[in-house]
Amino acid sequence: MTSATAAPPVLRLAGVSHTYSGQRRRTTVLKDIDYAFERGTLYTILGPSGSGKTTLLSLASGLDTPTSGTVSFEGQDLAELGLGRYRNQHAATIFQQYNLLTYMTALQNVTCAMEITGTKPTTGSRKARALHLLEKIGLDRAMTTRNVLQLSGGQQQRVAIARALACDVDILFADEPTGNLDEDTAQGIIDTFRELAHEQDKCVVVVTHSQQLAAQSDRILTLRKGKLTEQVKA
Amino acid sequence: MNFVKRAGFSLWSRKGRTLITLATFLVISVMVLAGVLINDATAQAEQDAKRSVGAEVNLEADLSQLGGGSELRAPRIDTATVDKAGALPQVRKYTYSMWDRVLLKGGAELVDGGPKDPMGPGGTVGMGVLDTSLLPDFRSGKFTLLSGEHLTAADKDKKRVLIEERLAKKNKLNVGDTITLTGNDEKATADFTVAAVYRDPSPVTEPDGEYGISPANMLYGTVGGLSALSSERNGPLEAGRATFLLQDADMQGAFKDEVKKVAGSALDGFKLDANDKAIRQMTGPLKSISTTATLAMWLMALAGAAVLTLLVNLAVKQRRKEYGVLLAMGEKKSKLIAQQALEIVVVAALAIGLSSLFAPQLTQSAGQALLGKEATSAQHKIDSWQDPPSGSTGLGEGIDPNDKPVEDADPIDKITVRLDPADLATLGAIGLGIGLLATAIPAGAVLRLNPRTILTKGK
Repeated sequence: MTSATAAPPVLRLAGVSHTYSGQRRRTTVLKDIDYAFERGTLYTILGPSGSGKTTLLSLASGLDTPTSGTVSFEGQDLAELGLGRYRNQHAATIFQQYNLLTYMTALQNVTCAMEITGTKPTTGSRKARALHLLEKIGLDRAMTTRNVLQLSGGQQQRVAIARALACDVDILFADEPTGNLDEDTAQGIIDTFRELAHEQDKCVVVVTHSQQLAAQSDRILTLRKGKLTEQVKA
Repeated sequence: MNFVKRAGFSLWSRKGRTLITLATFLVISVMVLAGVLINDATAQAEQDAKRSVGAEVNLEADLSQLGGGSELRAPRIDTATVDKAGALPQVRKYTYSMWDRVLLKGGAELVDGGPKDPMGPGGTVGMGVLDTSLLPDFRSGKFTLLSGEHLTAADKDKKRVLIEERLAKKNKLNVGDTITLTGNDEKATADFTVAAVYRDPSPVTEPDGEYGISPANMLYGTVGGLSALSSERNGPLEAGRATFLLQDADMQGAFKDEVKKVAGSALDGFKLDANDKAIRQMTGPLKSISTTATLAMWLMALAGAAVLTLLVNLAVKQRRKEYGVLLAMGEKKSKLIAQQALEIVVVAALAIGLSSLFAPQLTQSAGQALLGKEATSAQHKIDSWQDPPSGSTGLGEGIDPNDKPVEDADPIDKITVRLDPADLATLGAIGLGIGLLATAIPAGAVLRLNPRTILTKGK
């Protein structure tokens, strides 16, 4: 299932398995997964609830380490590269639960992420870039200076997306990014993901139940019983 | 440095929690600072008390070492050894003395009307003194020099005496005149020049407390001169008592240690007394409030630290998701801890600053009130002292003579609280220590986890 290109894939999972140890039994959620993710591609990962989609995303985004197997970025094992460095410079994640910093405004959440990752816009200030992104994904300017807890779920989700987009990373992971958005806004987000992949040569990996999103992705992967398979698009 | 900005956002945004932490820290700061200030003020007052009593150490016979037996002899110490002790760096001035029975010759007569011949017919006490200006009665002002000059170390081997005004009058003696003295066994006789005439206000009839003679008949002479009258003396000069005035009262301990090294076994039979009883009497109330303040300080600090630890612990647990988010963005763990620590440091600094504004006044009032009560109680105890009846040791009446209060040593009833940078540094160190420890332990426990576990645990 790997792409045959001269350069190493931007992200490769090799023999990745993951097991959760409970008090009485161990549950294996991912079994020996091999897959290579390429730049310039929008991936969607589908699968029933509890199939391990979020776990797969966590391992691929460097939030956790697999029980066995390796995850590598551009040919380098994340264990060698350092998970913190990988998350800081190469990967960004949009969480299903938004995971915003609740003591900050929408704008501060975005600029804070840019400061942590050391992202410097090619033109203008971090604040200008953050405002531009927030407006682009449909957040009213007045909302940007409000504490995020004063925003609705959909608005918080947009802030979380803007925060991830603001960091100039190679791979963008998203866990149900359009779940709380109306159809028009969701389409705007899908368009942004496609633009990132196709015009900025990023790798975008989205875990979703949305058929609308899957239909517009370049590759659809399905996770079932711990195995990852690619669907052939019609 | 974005963690600094985050710390600022966090403190400002969580005003309620910040204020609760500040209030807790403020209580700890005020209590700890109050304790530190009271301890400082009492230490200063104690120091002043020592100075007022005088930086004086007396070398005198230790009656408890004399033992029983028929041969009860007062101990003597070689004056060369005393000179060595007097040359120690802690010593400002020193003197020593010895005494023997002397008799007036050449027609001179003792003053009548006093105790009947306690030193035998015609006998009185000849006190050999290195420096008469250092005698306690001269230093206290009880004795007054009417004419002439004190005996000093330069007169040591000369034949000079100080005589009391009434003896001088009876024998028509003035400064520069001579008086003939002979020793106890009347084998050696010498003429002594009257170096000075002094006044002892005690009546003739009131016997000297130590020797039982009339105060008018006491003679103070040079050590070398009076020793020469004794036919028994065939070795070096010896003293029966010495007084050392130190540069500073704080040097008493060091001086005593040094003297023990210098004198060695020559000190057998002697004790070094530093007016400890007077100091104890004066500083008793101070010690009492200092102990109370220290105990209260540590109890409040511990209780406050426990509450603060609980608050910070809860705050850190509530912030675990924030840690997970920041770690997910690749923030360094060290910066997360730095942010948390900075938030505590800012609150601590604010609390310390506020406490330094009003803690001194508060401490002055509270400390003074406490000390006032203690001092009144101590003074009452002193005032109610009653000497045992005449002829009684007091033990039969349940009175311990050792408990007799020292005169002119009233319990200290005032302290002055002052805040100095060292106090603030102590408070800062304690406050920051508590705050950082309270932060580091729970934060360390959370940060051992990976971001995914932090973000998903409990979901």
